[in-house]
Amino acid sequence: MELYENKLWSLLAKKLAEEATEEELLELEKMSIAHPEIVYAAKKIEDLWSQQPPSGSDVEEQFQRLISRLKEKRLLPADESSAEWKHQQKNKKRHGRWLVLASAGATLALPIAYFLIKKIEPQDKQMRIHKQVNEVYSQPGSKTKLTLPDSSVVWLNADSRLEYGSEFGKNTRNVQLIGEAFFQVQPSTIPFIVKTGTVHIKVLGTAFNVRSYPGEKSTETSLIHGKVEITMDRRPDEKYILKPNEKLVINNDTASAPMSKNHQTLIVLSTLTRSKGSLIVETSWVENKLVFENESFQNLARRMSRWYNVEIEFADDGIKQLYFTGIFHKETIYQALEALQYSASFQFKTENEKIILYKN
Amino acid sequence: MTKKQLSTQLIEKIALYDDTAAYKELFFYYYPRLVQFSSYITADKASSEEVVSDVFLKVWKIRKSLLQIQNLQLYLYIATKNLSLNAVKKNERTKTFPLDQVSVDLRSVYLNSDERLITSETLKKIDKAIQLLPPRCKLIFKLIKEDGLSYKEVAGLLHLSTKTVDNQLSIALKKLGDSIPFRPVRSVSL
Repeated sequence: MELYENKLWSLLAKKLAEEATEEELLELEKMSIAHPEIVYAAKKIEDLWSQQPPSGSDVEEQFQRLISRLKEKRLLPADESSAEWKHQQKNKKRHGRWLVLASAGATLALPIAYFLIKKIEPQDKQMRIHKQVNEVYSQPGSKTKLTLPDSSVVWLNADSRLEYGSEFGKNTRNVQLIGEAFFQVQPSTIPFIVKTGTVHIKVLGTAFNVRSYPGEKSTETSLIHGKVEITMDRRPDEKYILKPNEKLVINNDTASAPMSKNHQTLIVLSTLTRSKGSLIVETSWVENKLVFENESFQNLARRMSRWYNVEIEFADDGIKQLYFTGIFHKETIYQALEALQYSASFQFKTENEKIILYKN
Repeated sequence: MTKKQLSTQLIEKIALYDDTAAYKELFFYYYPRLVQFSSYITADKASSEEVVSDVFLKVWKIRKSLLQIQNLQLYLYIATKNLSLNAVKKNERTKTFPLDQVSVDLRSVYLNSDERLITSETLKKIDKAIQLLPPRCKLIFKLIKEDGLSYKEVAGLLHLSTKTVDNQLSIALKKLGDSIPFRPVRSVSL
């Protein structure tokens, strides 16, 4: 097989497997012009490419057997009626291979489904009552994207947790957050409320970021679109309304302490930090970039620890007050630390899977 | 043509709501594929059916943490592979991964095909060419074509590089292409 031909088949393989880049697709087109006979054969193969293996009628039988096993092992309640009717009805509008395959196994049942729906539903609701809380969490070093029942989207940053009850979306939209999340909230007459340790954030159709990690001194809320109203648990009369491009930083001690005249103002309302190229620092993590603007090494190290899922310790307090500005995108932690060394004087070493930072 | 992807919504339904209808959808999609994949290892349909049932049992058991799995599709295939290898060990067969006996049963698929796209004559030629593919090549062809796995997933599953996967698939396509006679009645474009 000539090398040229090899390359053509390789590109075609990538195209059919959907692994080809734009450049590769263009190259394939160019090469095809010179080899019409290969193109002909390729077209035939492409035609048969989208065939599906048949489901077979015994898949239903196998599934029922599996359900019995699950019930035997008490992993399913004994009276669990498969909510398939309701499910098929809901998915009637979706056009996907998923639906085609699911129906193929139960086409006979479909006409009956519609009529049974009204009867099955109340029973189904009852079964769901025992589920109180839904919890989603993302571990250090990873991010999770989640769609809530009302179609609001939440991105959870590393080491964060989101909780919401099973009644979410009915009369209330309440979620509880520990850590950091970016919210894109669906407009609705039902207010969307985010509760962090000590702060309530009420929103109506907006995009905003909340940062409230235990162990950090403050809770930060940054608004991108829309409007939010922020209150603190112990001071419900003090309401702060954020407009787009503003951020509110609340010292956690302040939030949980009752009103006191001698207290320092530890609430800061400021505009969001925009670094060069209008990358918003507070929400760049959603795009997988770790952006920092004049940030102390102490804070940055803590963020990097979460981002890379590595423990970082300071051996010398003096270097905690070094300040850095920059963006990390695809660097490893070592590359990142080396990059920081270009602008400030410090050393680092690895010990027992921890990173130790010390002065030069 | 869109790549088949496990919708996050489906996984969420199972992980967050214990949704058995969603679980059933998952089963219906993966059961035939995984059983076939497993039988390349066990060479025994009954064992494979048991293996895949075990895989799905596990999926239900760990449903609450499904969202933490980066690639559930790959997880299912790897779990199937491991349990199949265990099953083989248990039966004290000393065969290695018996790709020699792989019979990719693609015949039944083409019975359902839209015959206006492909003449049955061409179909037979292609079918024969597939049967004659070397075992590993045939397996890779099947995993990508029918099961819709990505290069990366196949590479991870079979411990190969993505370059090797691409090579094998190219070889398969070339062999199939060679089996189709050229009849330039009109110009075609990809």
